[in-house]
Amino acid sequence: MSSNNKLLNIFREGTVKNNPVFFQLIGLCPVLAITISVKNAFVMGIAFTLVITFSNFIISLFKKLISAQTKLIIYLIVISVFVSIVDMLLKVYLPTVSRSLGVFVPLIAVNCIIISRLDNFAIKKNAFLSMVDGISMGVGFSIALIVVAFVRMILGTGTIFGYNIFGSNYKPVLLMLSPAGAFFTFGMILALIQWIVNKKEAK
Amino acid sequence: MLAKLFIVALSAIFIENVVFVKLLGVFPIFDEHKRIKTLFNMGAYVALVMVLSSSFMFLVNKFLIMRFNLTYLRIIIFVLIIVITMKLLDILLMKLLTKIHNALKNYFPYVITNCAVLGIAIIIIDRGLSFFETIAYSFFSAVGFTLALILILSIKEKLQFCSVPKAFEGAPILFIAIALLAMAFMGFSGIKFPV
Amino acid sequence: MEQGEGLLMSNISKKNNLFSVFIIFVALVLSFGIISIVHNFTTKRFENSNYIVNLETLMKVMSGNYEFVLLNDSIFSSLKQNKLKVYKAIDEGIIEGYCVDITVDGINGEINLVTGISHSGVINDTEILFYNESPTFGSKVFNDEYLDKFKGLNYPMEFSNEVIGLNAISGATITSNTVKDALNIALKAILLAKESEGLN
Repeated sequence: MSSNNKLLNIFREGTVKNNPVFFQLIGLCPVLAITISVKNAFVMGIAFTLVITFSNFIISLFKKLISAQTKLIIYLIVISVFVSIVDMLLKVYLPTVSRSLGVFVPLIAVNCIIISRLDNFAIKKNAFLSMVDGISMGVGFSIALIVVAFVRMILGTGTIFGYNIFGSNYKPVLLMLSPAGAFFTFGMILALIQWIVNKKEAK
Repeated sequence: MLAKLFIVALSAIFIENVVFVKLLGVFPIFDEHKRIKTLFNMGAYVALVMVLSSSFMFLVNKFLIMRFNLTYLRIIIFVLIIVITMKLLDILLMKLLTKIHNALKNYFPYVITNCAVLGIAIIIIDRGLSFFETIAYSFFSAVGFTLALILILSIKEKLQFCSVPKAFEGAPILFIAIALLAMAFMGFSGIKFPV
Repeated sequence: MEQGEGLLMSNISKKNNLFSVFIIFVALVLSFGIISIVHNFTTKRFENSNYIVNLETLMKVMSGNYEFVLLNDSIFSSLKQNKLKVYKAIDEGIIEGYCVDITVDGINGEINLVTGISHSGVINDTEILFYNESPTFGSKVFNDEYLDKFKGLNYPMEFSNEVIGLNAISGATITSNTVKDALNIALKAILLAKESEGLN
């Protein structure tokens, strides 16, 4: 029972309490750049979760072999292996999405979130916990991606999955699809979250 | 030749600015980088790493990857090149210019996980630029990156004196201000060069 | 006593260093091996699924049933394009025209289009296969009505934006410039193709 609680805690930590994007504010490049369509965001989220979960798992399994000098290179090697595999799988099974995501799939390899989780968690805890932590961070990241993509897609194109929700006379706010819109959306979402947190603390 | 350099510079710094247009290498300025001089140091470091690793990657791409058709190994090879470049730079600086080395040691994690270094390199290689263009483009991208950092820091300093609604304090208002900056950079995107 | 200890320390650290290097080496070999294995596993499916334009599209842009033969990339090396493929459209042994499949890097991302060009160098029809970030600024522009305006044009294409009828929406102008550039490159490629065909 208590071990179940522990797992749940780790999971909640990654997705809500210490969300890597909204609270730690790291690994932001994909959140701003590719969140123009929800489909891309979803696929990117899955790719990221796979990479971080397996990397956490492997590093945690072999943590005794890694010394302080070599850890950076080992982290990057392990992460790159999984990123390459995911990249190849995407190119085969989802070629359009892979082309849309472009350079950001290889960039998962240098994403701050993965390296910081490996250094803070996987190198200390056991394999199973590390895997759960990886999944939780990945899910948190995916949630962030999808939320931002959702807002940008609704405002920027007025459609969800092809359905015009504001009526056909709606002139979409094209600015939302640009980099400026990305920063703006992200800032507003952060403000919303901060407002919610402030309210909770005031109670 | 000079004209081409100018075009590359204009493209890399303004039209396709790494931070405001390409959205690579975005991170809110942490409290450590409080002074503009620190940013110049960091910018120089990033420029050095980008130029060296991009040229190294160009050579490896031309003589190794393209020759033996190893494109699937691109990611891991490029990441290793970046790490090796940074470690070599580290060792060199430690032996030769210890003072600079101490200043730059703190920025190591910020540069290693910077999307811009790997991202610009992959973009350069996908576009098929020549060696000289690679060096120029990566250098001026780093200049654009430094410019973006300086702009963001200046705004952050000014924001401290504004009264902002409580929910927007800190990161949110900074991002909205960066959004305005990005809009300004959008204005450059209409510039077209005669081919 | 102290010297002895010092030696012992350096011994341990030397062993540590060697061990670290060994671990890194093993990790590298393993990773390259794993990636290669996965690559071999996926490569066959990859080649079939992507980047080769299908017959239907080629026939549509040439407006006819032709036999399409891919030309050698070396003919077009002077254009310095990474993603350019030219097919010649043959009807009963005579080259009726060419199809160009080109991908260019625009401000908003990649644009991949296929255009059919008659032997006299006049654009027949164009089809956009892929543009990054659907929908984006320029996407209003990518419909048949817009692409029809390119029909019947030849190299070098210089026309004012009024001909196309664009509004001054930021981004819409830029993406159509990219399309224009792509078509101009395609027309240049046709000239090169015709030269090389003269050598056969």
